[in-house]
Amino acid sequence: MKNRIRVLRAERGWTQADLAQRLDVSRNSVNAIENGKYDPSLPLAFAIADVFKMKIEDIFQKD
Amino acid sequence: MSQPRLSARSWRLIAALGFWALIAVALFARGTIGLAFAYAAGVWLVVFSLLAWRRQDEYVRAAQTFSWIFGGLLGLLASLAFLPVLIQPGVLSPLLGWISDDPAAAAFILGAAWIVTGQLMGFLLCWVGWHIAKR
Repeated sequence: MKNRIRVLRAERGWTQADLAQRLDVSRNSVNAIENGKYDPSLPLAFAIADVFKMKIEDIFQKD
Repeated sequence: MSQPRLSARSWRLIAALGFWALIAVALFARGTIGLAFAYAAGVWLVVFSLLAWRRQDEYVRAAQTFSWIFGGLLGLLASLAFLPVLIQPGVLSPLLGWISDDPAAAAFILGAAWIVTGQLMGFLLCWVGWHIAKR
């Protein structure tokens, strides 16, 4: 699954640690999700969408 | 006022340190008191491991679940495959007397420890592999 998290995060000037703190997850989680190495659960995907104030489908796309 | 929450790493550290401290006391005390401390160590480990598990995020939980299922299983099978090493004469017999005066009890404990160690090794290998693969 592809995602735009790295771009969205950069647009807001957030580090991976900043985003991890907002999501209450580890920085490793954010890194793995950004790199497409780990697909988040639906609740975490919703949390990510909430943080960016966007819809899930605008952040995550099928490969 | 919200209380500061300990991280999963802190809970894991508390779990490990307390467990090994209680095990050390159990080995030192031996007998009924030692057994009580050994049980207390088991309870301590379970309680604080659960608290650590609750504080972990889903990524770490996924790594641990994967590692316990596949690494733990492979470690278990490997420890069983190498079990005949344990029963070779003289290989581990010096340990038996140190563990317990009862040879049957000592052999049982040693066998259980062998299998658990195998599972832990398998878990650790898989856990490290997971984190390398997901970097």
